[in-house]
Amino acid sequence: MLKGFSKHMAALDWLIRIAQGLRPIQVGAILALLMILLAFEDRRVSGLALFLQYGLLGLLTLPYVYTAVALARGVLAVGISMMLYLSAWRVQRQVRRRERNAPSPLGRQGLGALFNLSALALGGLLAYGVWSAYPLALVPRPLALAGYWVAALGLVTALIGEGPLRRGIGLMLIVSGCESLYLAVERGLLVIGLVGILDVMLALALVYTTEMWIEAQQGVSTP
Amino acid sequence: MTLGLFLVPFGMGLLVWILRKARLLAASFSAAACVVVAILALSAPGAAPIVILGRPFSLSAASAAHLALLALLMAVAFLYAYAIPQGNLAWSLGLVALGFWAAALMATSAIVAGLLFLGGAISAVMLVPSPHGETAMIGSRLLVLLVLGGILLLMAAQSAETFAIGGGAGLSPAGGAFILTLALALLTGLFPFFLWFSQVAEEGTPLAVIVLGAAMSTTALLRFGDPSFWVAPLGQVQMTALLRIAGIGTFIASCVAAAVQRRLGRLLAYSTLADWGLILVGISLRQGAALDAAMLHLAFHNVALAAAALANGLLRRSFGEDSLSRLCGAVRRAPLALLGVITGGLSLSGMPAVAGFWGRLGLYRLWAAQSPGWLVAFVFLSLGSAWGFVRLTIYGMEPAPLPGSRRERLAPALLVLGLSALLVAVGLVPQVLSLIPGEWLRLLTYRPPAP
Repeated sequence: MLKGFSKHMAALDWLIRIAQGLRPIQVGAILALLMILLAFEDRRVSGLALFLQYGLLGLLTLPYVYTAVALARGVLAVGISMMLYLSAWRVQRQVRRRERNAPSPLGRQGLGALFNLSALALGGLLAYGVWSAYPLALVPRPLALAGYWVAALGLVTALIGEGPLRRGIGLMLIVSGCESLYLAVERGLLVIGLVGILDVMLALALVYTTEMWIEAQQGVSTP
Repeated sequence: MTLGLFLVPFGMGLLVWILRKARLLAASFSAAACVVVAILALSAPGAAPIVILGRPFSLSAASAAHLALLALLMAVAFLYAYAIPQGNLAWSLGLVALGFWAAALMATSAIVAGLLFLGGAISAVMLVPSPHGETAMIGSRLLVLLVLGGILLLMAAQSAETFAIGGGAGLSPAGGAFILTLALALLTGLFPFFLWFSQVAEEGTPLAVIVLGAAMSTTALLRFGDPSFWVAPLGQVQMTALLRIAGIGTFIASCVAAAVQRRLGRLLAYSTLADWGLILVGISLRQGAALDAAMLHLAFHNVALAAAALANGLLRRSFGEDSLSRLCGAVRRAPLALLGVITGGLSLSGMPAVAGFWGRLGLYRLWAAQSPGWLVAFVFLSLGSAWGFVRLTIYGMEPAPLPGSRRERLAPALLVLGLSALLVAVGLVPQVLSLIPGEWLRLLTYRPPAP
């Protein structure tokens, strides 16, 4: 048992070393990939983007939070991503069904991947500008860049996203970006616990709203 | 005892979720939990604070009576939901929201209070989506708006705590005050962000209207609307000025919007917001008497909103929709619901013979001392929202009911009648307030001692 524990701790140390060694350019590359994933119309890809940003921000905050907290947040991130991915899968199935039965505005809801990419790039640039102009004294620079960037991408996604799920994924990104900045300076267990509870509640609210939306769409399609 | 204030709603919320198919049990248990919360809230001030993970929790006298009143109004709404279905999760979500907001009112730390408040707001938003119409999209938009408001609230709370411990980093007091006012504007639907409440009132269930319009707004105002929340005097002055501007803007815009509405839900929403704007103006006067008047009026406001929202739900069920012109003959089909909407609406508009008049009179008298010109404008604009309810009365009094309309259900209509009777009793004989035990009345109009 002790051997297993020390193995886990060694893996965690290795992750912390990676996190500490990350440079802003490497973080920027991952953030650019995140931006490209978010530009796709398919909601399942947006779900993957959400998981990617949880991974990146989790890695960057790892050296500044308690190990147990980091592990708990990791489990939470996996759970939330899976919930939203399942919801995204159901929405895509509903969209495909509607398109098969009768061409409807649902299939053309998105404004196109190119437009999404342009808007997200503008959001990213804005985040970069804010990061350069207003550095946060207590937050490490790569983490601050990632936090600002993810929150800005989330804001753009929430603004241009059609339907509750895409808008909701945008909202999760905003919350996640802000949380990563805050958790780098907050050590209170009650606050960290409440933040985790809010994450779960927000994901549940998104899934519930999306399910209601799917049911409403099915009601419309069945005369 | 203090711990019970949030353990009871959370525990009962879980039990009610399990029993959600047994509607009678769910409604009864939910209402009973709210009554317990009300009793605990009234006995909580003065109790020793509890400490959870290093953060103290205690309920101030300023919040206790309002929390008790909100819990009682939610109890009425939960019983109503037995007869007029609001969704299987409505009871659990309402209780969870109440638990979060009770905890937010008790949290001494502004950041913890902000997080708890946001938890309640997320639960409350889940009352809006249903498998019908546009409610899912409205819920989704509202979720984005409230979470953004919550993030701003947390930024302001962080800034306030940083100043409280003498730290220099963070927002300036003036910047913090601006961010907090912006957050309050988003969360309570102040001008120019007031459109969300009209959508909820038009498409959402009566329970959603009461939880979001009365409970959430009151909690936000009690916990974060007090300018003394800001340690630095500059922040207090700035926030008072901003609250006054937001209050006046909300009042004017809502009165104008209410005057032109043709649907009862929207009319109710704008009348509520106009009244809410006036309460903020009262708080911004920063005089002891004005705060007393605003706090008392806040209680009347919440009762009136509950009465009108529940009655609107009954009318919608009887007539299938809530266009004013389609409510012809409501006096025959749904007399108690019509009475509830009219008394609630007129109280929200500050008209004589209902409770809201006395609350507004107190505020008007204090405002007159500062600016008589504005007072005349306020009274004139109030007629805008009152006009909508007068039109409803004219349509409702028509002798021939609309074909296809059905009679109101008696049990929920009697709940509405109880609230209406309360509004009329206080309106006609304001001395009935003296029947409330003196210490409870003092709690209701409590103001914190000057720093």
